[in-house]
Amino acid sequence: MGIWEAFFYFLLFTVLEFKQVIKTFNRGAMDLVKALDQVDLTLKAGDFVVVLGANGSGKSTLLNCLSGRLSLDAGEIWFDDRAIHQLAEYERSKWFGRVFQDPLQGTSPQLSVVENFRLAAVRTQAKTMRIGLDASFRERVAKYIAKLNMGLENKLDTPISLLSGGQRQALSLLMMTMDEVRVLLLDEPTAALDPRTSKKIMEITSNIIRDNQLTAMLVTHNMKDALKYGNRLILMSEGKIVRDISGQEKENLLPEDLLTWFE
Amino acid sequence: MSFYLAAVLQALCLGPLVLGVYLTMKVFRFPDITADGSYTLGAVVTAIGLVNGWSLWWCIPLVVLSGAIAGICSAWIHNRIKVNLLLAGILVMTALYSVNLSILGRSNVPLLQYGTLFNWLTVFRTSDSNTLIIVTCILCLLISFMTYLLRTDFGLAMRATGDNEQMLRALGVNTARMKWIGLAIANGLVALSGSLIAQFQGFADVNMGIGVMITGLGSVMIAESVVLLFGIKRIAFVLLAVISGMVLFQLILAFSLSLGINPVMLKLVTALIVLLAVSIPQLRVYGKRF
Repeated sequence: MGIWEAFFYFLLFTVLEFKQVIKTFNRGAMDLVKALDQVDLTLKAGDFVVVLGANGSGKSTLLNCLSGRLSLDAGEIWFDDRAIHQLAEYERSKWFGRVFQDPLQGTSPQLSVVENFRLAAVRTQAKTMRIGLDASFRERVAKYIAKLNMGLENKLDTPISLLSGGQRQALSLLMMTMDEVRVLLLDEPTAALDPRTSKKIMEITSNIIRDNQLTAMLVTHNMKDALKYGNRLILMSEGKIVRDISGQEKENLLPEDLLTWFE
Repeated sequence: MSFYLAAVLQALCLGPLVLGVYLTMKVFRFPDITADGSYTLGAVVTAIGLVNGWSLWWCIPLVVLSGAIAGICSAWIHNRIKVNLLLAGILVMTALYSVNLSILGRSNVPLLQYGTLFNWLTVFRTSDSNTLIIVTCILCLLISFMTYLLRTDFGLAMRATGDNEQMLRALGVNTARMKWIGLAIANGLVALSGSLIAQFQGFADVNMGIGVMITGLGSVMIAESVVLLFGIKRIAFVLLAVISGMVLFQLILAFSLSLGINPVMLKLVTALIVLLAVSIPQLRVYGKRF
């Protein structure tokens, strides 16, 4: 690839860019924490980035700064060709689908399964004074949920609070793809689940990302998942990205290598 | 008998209030104390309108608007200054007491000699029957409006706001906007109740709003137990249950008065009924689990 070709490739396919992002907690106090310390990170379309790091290394902060849950102290975040770090959290959700660590956070417990999906289906649109939850929508959701093979398509009218954590997490994953989504942000989506359910949820996630050709960021503590999924892996430590490997280099990574990273 | 009929009519006049309290309980999972002030505000605006001979066509929308503004004030304090909603409501309620008193000019204005909403229609000879018809029509309109609202995409987002704000922001909902619209609608309804009660009782009083939110809350609690017990899902029926809760509430109060309880003790009885209503769901859950 020639240098110009490489340049255009870069221009065309860069989706997300963190520029010198700084986020500090407890500013001015003795126990000041530099959660993100001048982070630079560029994501290309279709990148599936696994984010590893010890507790408090800034992984979740990275995702929360991107989604708008936290505001930056300094630096910029660019999405496509616009700076988004000033936008409100709800405005950025047009592009970002998020799945939270706590299964309770991704769904509204009092609403039924189908009502939750209705809200998710208009994620990128205004919520108007229109009754969108009609028979054809129910059918669409039922078909969609049937893909999970969890029998949830028969529980459309069940309040979500009556479902298990694993079921809710699977549903919140599907909800994120009901409407157009560009980037999937997964903050330890399986941390609260048992091993078997986690495995299933990770498989569903990976399928969704592959089928919809999504760009994704996955924060995890699970070494096996970190090796198995994604085409890129970054390691964070004390608010900085200390390792960033991708492609063949990631494929060849062994569990032993990962363990030495943490020492 | 007419004693109990009066209780039912009063309960129906308080219907919009219960719908408003229900909405805030849904949108915030939180009782909004602004109601005590906006209820009186509704009555006060009505009194001024009637005394000055304004047309009811102007007066009633103005009442709803004034309540909505009171609600928006609470929501603004909560959203912008990040004050707890309970405190924001108390602040606005306290401020409204002075506002109400200065609008009304004195603490009590009789309205018996003016033509109210309830004298407007004369189908039957007795005024109670006419009142019943008018209030029922108003409630039917309000229930249809709320049923429709809560079923729309907007309404779904509103119902989820009290449930899970984080999820809503992730789904592109401006939760601050939801809150002020929700509080505006709720307090508009509450003010309408104040107006209806003032016209029904024939006077407006600056103290009439004290504890009225608790009455609404008690009715909503009674209704929630009923809804749980019978597994009611349709929103229209839930709203009907909520209003029936108020009717039951007022009938209990009327019954305790007829037993010869000193009217001074009425607020105590009210508190006890609400306590009972709040504890019913708890008892039921424990009964099931153990």
